[in-house]
Amino acid sequence: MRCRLAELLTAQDLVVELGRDRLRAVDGVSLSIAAGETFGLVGESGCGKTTLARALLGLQGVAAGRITLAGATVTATGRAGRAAVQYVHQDPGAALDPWWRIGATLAEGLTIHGVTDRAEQQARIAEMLAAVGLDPALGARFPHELSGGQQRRIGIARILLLRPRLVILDEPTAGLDLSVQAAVLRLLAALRDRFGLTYLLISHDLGVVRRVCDRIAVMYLGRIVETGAAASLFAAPRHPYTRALLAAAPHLDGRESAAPPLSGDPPSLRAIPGGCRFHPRCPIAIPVCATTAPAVENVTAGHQVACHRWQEESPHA
Amino acid sequence: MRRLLRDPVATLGFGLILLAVFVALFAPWLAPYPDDAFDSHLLQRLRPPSAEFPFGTDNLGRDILSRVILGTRDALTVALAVVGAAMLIGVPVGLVAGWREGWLAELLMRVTDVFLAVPQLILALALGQLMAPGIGTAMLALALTYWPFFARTVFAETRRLRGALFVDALAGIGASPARILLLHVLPNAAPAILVRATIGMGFTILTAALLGFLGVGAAPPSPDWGLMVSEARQHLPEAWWFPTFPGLAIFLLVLGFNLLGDGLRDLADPRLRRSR
Amino acid sequence: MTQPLLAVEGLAVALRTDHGLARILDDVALTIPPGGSLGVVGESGCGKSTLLRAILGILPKGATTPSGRIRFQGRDLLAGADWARGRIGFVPQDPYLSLNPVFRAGDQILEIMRRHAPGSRADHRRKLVELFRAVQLPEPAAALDKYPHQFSGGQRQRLLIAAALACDPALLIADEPTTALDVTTQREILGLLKRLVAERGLGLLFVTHDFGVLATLCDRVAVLYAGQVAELGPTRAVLDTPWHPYTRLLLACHPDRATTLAGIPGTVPAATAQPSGCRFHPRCPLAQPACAAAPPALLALGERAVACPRHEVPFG
Repeated sequence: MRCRLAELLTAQDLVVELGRDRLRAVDGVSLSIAAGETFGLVGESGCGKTTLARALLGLQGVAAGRITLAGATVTATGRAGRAAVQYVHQDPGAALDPWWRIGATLAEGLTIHGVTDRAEQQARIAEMLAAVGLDPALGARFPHELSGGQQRRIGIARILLLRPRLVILDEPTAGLDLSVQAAVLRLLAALRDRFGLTYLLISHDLGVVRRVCDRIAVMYLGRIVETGAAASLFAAPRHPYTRALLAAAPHLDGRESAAPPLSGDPPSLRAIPGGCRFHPRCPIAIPVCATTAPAVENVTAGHQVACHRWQEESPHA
Repeated sequence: MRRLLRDPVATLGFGLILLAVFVALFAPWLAPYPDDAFDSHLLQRLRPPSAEFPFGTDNLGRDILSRVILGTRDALTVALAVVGAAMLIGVPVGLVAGWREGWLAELLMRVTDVFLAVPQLILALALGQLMAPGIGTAMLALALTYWPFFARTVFAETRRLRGALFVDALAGIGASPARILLLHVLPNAAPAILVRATIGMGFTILTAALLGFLGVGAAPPSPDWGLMVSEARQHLPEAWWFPTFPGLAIFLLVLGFNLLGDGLRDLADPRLRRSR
Repeated sequence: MTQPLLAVEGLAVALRTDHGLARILDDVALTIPPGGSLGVVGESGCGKSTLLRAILGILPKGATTPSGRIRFQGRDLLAGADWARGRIGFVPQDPYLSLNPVFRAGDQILEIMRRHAPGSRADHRRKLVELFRAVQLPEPAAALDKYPHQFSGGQRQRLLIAAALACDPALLIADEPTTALDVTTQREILGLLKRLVAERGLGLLFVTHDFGVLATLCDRVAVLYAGQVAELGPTRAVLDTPWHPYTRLLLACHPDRATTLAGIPGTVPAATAQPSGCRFHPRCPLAQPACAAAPPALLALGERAVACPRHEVPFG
């Protein structure tokens, strides 16, 4: 267990509105990521996790709230003031220009960041390709000539060349086979230690998050419903949505969780339910849930939950 | 390239164009009577095709085969110049309008629409009246009316690519819009531009011939195919060979560009669809 | 002995590519009894989609004529599969791409029923509303006249399950039907499939890369590696005591079992360059010189079968 380290990135009461209809994709999110940790952001499609990431990167303007990076407020600086934060796309193949060779794509990032000397570029690229476990000869290939796992490693190498401090990994193992997933996760852990990185890992796959994250935040419909250390969150989830997510993962022994499955799909941002946003799908909702949004409460130090009924013993922990 | 050669129709078009380029490059050496571009020999006027004059002679006694060969160079030069000029205007307009949102994009595309609505022939005829009629005026008119096609093509491609993940990734690592547009969007739009340019070449040759025929294009005595067909009108139906061979040359070259353009479009299409 | 619902014997399919002939499937044998369920599991490139396509008679262009036999209800499918359309229901992988957006969802399913199921259009409509109720679509009668975009991802997958059931099939084939869905939705859809298959006594052929999904749904499992069956047997037995080294390594990667972030060394071979002998030997911790020499036979041991003579040897 890591001790509490300095905060690298924080967000306070962040609100992000999208499009002309000003849909609130992120609505009052606070989180803080400590230097050196792997922070997991979990939620299903449409919960706002990618929008939150783009806001933290400075690619998406925020309507309210404050973002700090290494102690300095960067809410208004846009992308330029946040080179220390970089983003690895979910689909690494599509994130590479199909007309450019891998080597040229890697060199381009360096050029943009002021490293223009050819020899230095080549040296750094060769070193980084070796660091992500690839043959430097791959630099001469085109993106479509690489396998999914290789493309993902290139996506990571491209970002690490820019020497970031915080890397946002968007579904780093989506679409990969189990045997390859393990290799990518192992690589990410090794790179974190070698380059002193901090990760914000976005995923809907609890199996992945459980294995690599120190702390986890669970997001539902634009709000964080539960935050805590990975161990305590998995051992004793307090929010009914976290419980439902955990129960939904199929297990090898074929056991069905006693928790009833959630009914229906998450409602859209155009029709956000009043009160607690989860109440229409919640198995333990009571009348107050429909009228009053729950406050964020401390379960233990470092474990917060936003639920009116978190203190009642869960029927199936 | 190998995939192109697997398509027999496109290969035929490509062959026709290669032949035309070869003829244009070596015209003075290929033509049996290279001086017949301008010299007239009134004694041998309107001779039918024979061993001496395979395509016959025209109203001034000039060898039609030589003039068709010499005209290839002009036809290709005009097409290249017009398409090149149209690209120079249309591609940047399309890139900027496709990338930007808001009033500038809106303005550029409305101007494009206005130019798209101008009838080519009427503009050429009007310019011919205003300025001296000649091949330069015709080319100006053609370029002024063809660039909107490039603008629209590039606009659509840029809009498509702007949403592509790799462009988002570039913005993510801090690439400037100019870098993204020139080094990434433009190469990715190149197949579509190439298809448009190929078809535009055929189209330009046809229209330039038509302008020559109407007397607002190339001026006599230059060996212009359209002009030759026009001059032949007074000698029909007796001198059938006079308009037939220049007409055939126009037909074959335009056909070649169109077949190649269609072939290139088929090649480009699956790729475009896949990357969406 | 009752006749199997589906029997695949010695199935081989190859694909002509620019790099030569790709042997996608090689000597694959599987059976499903009436009402039985078989899960086919394997990583990308193992040939599981090609297996489905061969059974459904929709192999891509460039595929060679499959050799071997596929018998459905005792009749050969390879000789022509038209008669079986409607009797085999298919649930595709991606609910977003599998419906034509410009036609009403109901009309698209009714069109399938018109071609393959007896009865009038009014009968079909009545039956489809029943099916929509069975797959728990909200407002089943109104759903008939909605367009695909008016349904969420989970609802679309319910629609496609209804479509697969529309012609009263005896066998349901599902191709990773939940990979495009969220976990909570996946759980609902799997529960629904399980119930429908049991209620209607359907045979089920379920293709997936996820052992956990298999464990909840199928009574037997076939593990495919590089186009061949590596291991076959009752789901519980295979998951509890995997025999084939590949199955053992793959299960060790599952989050429920993984103690470390161990993967499987090496990569799946390209179908154009299959290794000699046992196709897994370059990645296998138990490999011996003999493994590279001759391909192992599928040893049948009671209810189970495994294509490895060293299946009892523990990892060192």
